[in-house]
Parts: sequence; C-alpha cells; structure tokens
Amino acid sequence: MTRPAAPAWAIPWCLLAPALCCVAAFVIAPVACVGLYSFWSHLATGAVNMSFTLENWRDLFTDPFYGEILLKTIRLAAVSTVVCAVLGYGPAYYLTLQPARRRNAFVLLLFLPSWISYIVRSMSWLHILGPNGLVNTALLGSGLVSSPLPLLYNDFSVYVGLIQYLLPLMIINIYIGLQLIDRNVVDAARTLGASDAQAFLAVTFPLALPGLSAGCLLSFILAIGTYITPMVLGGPGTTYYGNLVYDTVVSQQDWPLGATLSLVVVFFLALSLYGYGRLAGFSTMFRETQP
Amino acid sequence: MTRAAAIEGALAGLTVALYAFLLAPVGVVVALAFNASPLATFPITHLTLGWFAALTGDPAILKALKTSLVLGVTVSLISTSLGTAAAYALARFRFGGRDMVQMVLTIPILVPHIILGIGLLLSFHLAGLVKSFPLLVAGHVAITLPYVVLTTRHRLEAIPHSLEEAAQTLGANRLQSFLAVTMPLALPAIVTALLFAFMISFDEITATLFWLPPNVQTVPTQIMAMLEYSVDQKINALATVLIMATVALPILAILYAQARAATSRSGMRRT
Repeated sequence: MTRPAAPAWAIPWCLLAPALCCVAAFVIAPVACVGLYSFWSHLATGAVNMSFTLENWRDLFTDPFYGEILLKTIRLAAVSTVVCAVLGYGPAYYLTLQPARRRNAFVLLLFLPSWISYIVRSMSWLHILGPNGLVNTALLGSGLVSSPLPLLYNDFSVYVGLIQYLLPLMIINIYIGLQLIDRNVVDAARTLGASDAQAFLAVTFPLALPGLSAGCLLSFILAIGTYITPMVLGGPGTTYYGNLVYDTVVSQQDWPLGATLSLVVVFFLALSLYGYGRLAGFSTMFRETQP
Repeated sequence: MTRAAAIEGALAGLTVALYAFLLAPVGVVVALAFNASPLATFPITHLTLGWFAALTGDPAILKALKTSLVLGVTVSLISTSLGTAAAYALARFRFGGRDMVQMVLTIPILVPHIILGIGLLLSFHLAGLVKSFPLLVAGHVAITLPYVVLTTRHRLEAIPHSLEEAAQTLGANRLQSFLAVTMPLALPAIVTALLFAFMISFDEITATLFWLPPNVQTVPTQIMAMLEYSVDQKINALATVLIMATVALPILAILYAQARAATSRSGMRRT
C-alpha cells in the first residue's frame, strides 16, 4: 500500500509493451532491415559494404534469369491457387449442407492435414510418385505402362505437393465464408422464386466472396515464397523464386542481393493485400445492395 | 429433387476424393514406418517396430529432438505469457490506438516466413549478433505470438468483467483478481495457446533454416537434411513420431478445452 498505484491509462500499455516490443524488434525492424541491405553491396571477402548502391536492384531488373524464375513462380502460385479454389469450393459447400455432428467431424479431418508437419506432408509424396512409389507400382503391375513414369523430382511433383499443402487452408477459408452467410437471405431468394442455381449465383457466392478471397490471398502468398516444396519434390531445373532467395542468402551468403530478391516477395504480398481489399470491398458493396 | 440429390452426391464424391488426396500420402508414410523391408517401398512384407528403435540409437536424431523440445517449450512459455498479457489488455481496456495495436499484433501472420527468416537474420547480424539459439527463440516467439493473442482474446472477452470487479470490491487488487478469478476461467484458452504455440514452433522450417546455428538441427530440418541422402526407413519412423505428436496434441487440446468449457459454464450458471 506504500507504493502508489500506476495511473489507469498506463495499465493496458504496460501489458501490451512486451508483445509490441517483440513484434517491433523481431518482425517490423527486421523487414525494414531487409530494405536497408538491398541498397548495400556484398564484398568478395564475404563482408557487407554499407555504402549506398543500386547495384542489386540493377541486377534484379536487367538479368533475365531472375525475371524467368519469377514468372515461373507466379505461374506456380496462380495455377495452384486457382486449382485449390476450384477443387476446394465443392467440399467447402458440401460441409455447410451437413448436419452439425458430421460437419464437425469433417472440419476436424480438414484441420488434421494442416497440423501435420509441412516437411512430412511434402516428403510423403516421395513414396507415392517415386519410381518405386505407389502409383508406378500400380501402373507397372497392371501392365498399363512398361517403365515407371517420371512423376517425381520435376515441376509436376512440385505442383502436386504445393496443392496438397494449400488445399486445406483454401477449403477452411471458403467454408468460413459460407458459414457466415445469413441462411435466411438464401431462403428468401428461394421463396421469391430463385432456383437453386440462381440463389447460389446471386446470393450465396457473392456473400461468401470474402472467404474465397482470403483463401486465395493466403495460398498465393504462401506459394510465392515457398522453397521447401521444390527442395523436397523438385529436381534439376525446378528452381523457384524462394529457392533463389534461400540459395543467395544461405548458400552464397550474399545478403544484400538476397535482401533485394526477397523484397519482390514483399511487393507481391502488398499487391495481393491490395487485391484482397478490392475484392472484399466489392463483396461489402454486394451486401449493401441486398434489399 | 433428384437433381439436387445428384449434385449433393457428386459433391460428396469430390469431398471424399480430396480428403483422400490430403490424408492418404501421410497414411502411407505411417504404414511404411512399420514395414520390415529396409527399402522404404511397398509391398509391406511384415510388420516391425525396429525402425522406431533405430531412432533412439541415432545421436543426430536424438539431438534434433531435444533441440526441438527445448525450443518448443521455451517459445510456448514466453509467447503465451506475452500474448496473454496483450490479449487481456485488448479484452479488458478501452484506449486510444486499440485498433492499431490489434493490427500490429497480427502483422507476423501476414509476413511470409521466408521474409521473417531473412529479416531477423540480417538484423541480428547488423546488431553484431551471430546465429544462435536465442535467435531461434526470438523468431519463433514472433511467429507464434499472434496465434496466442487470437486464441486467448476471445475467451478473455467472454468472461464477464463484473466477476473481477466483485473480487476487487472484496479487497483484491488487480493482480490478485486476475490470478484468482480471470486466469482460472481463461485456463482452457491459455493451455490451448500453449499447445498451439508449441506445435507451430515444433513444425516451423521455412524461417528456421535461415536461423540455424552451425551443427544445430530441429526435427523438421533434420528430416530435410536426411532427405538429401536417401529416403530410408528411419525418416519414415521419425515422420511417424512427428505425425503422432502433431495430431495427438491438438486433439488433446480440443478435448481439454471442451471439458473445461463445459465445467466452467456449469460453474458460472450455478453462481
């Protein structure tokens, strides 16, 4: 009782301070630091020359090698995102039709793979797609092919692994979007004479758009920065942008160039967030125009 | 009606097929881990636990397991303390800049782990520090923190403020009322947050590979390193251990949270 009590306004800030400092010191400052390094240069000795230069940025924009890999990575991210959205919509919608008990079981089963270690899920395809894997064993055994198909250590296996990684996240996001819809609005559309398909296209789909766009945003960002999947399932010639960044930073230890390359990922993150804002904005527009 | 049934049937088929696509490969890893054949391929000749026994004789794997456990426990304790304090501030107090704070605390979810990896590595270097265990802890705390805040905040908001005020009227100070009233009621969420922080840390590989000190591996990076040589049965066994841990832990967390929520709900109703 001898110690004077802290003023009321200071209490929440004292509670928040450790967490905010942690984010500031270990996330915000480091990202700013990446920006700083991108204007420095790498010396042959392995040290970093801390004087301003645009050398890394010039390399990034003039060397066609980076552009090619970036394009390849954007294609990977875009295709896997679209495949996940198209494949995932059906199951997400199906879940909302189920009675509560079965739905909860389905949702739990959906979270299950997203809890299982990323590296384990990636490596599991080695047993499926490899020359002695399940698929080739079955194909050879049935006599459909005479020699094992090249399913592993190429772009195909990278796509498969990445889609398996992203799909549960996509389904969960679409499902949450669908769950948030007021069922009465859909019923109202049916009462007013809309067919199932009309009610879905005019009411359900636009109202559930925030979930779908959140899923797309998440999988696009994750896919752009991935390097683990190509490292495990890729082979020669399947270098994606994340691998480039990893090799530059960890193997070559050229941190200024690595920083510059990784800022491209940040740029795509900002672009996707902007796109998401626009999409989510559109859906609120839809919501407001609903009678 | 039949058309709607046909559509639902098709959706059911697609759902089952995709669930199989998501889960079957992992099932194959588990099945192979019990296969006596050393080739890590089918067919399964006969069953054995030998590959799990082999894990305990591999010093590199044991060391990685120890690193991951120590890291996971340290990270989840720090992250849950910081995160719960922040969640409590957000749930209990109204103050200027609250929305801004919420946004800042979710930033780590938005930043791709590859960027977090490079950023923290470079900033540690700029501060004159080398790759070390504290670097791993700092990074993992930053990664897990937003999940802790999200998990605990909802629960803290659901606890009526009046309970704490009653305790304070009866003479408890803020800390005492938190420890005696709010904390026990929020315990299911806090335990869940601990488990999830542990799991996320135990699993993290994308950023971790940038931070590993020399001669240190965590379980996922150890698997990664082993994969560079060959896909042998030890990897399948280690992966199976990992699967069991990551599947069993959250299910335990959910069951615990449900049980606690049920008892505390009936407790609240009685009072």
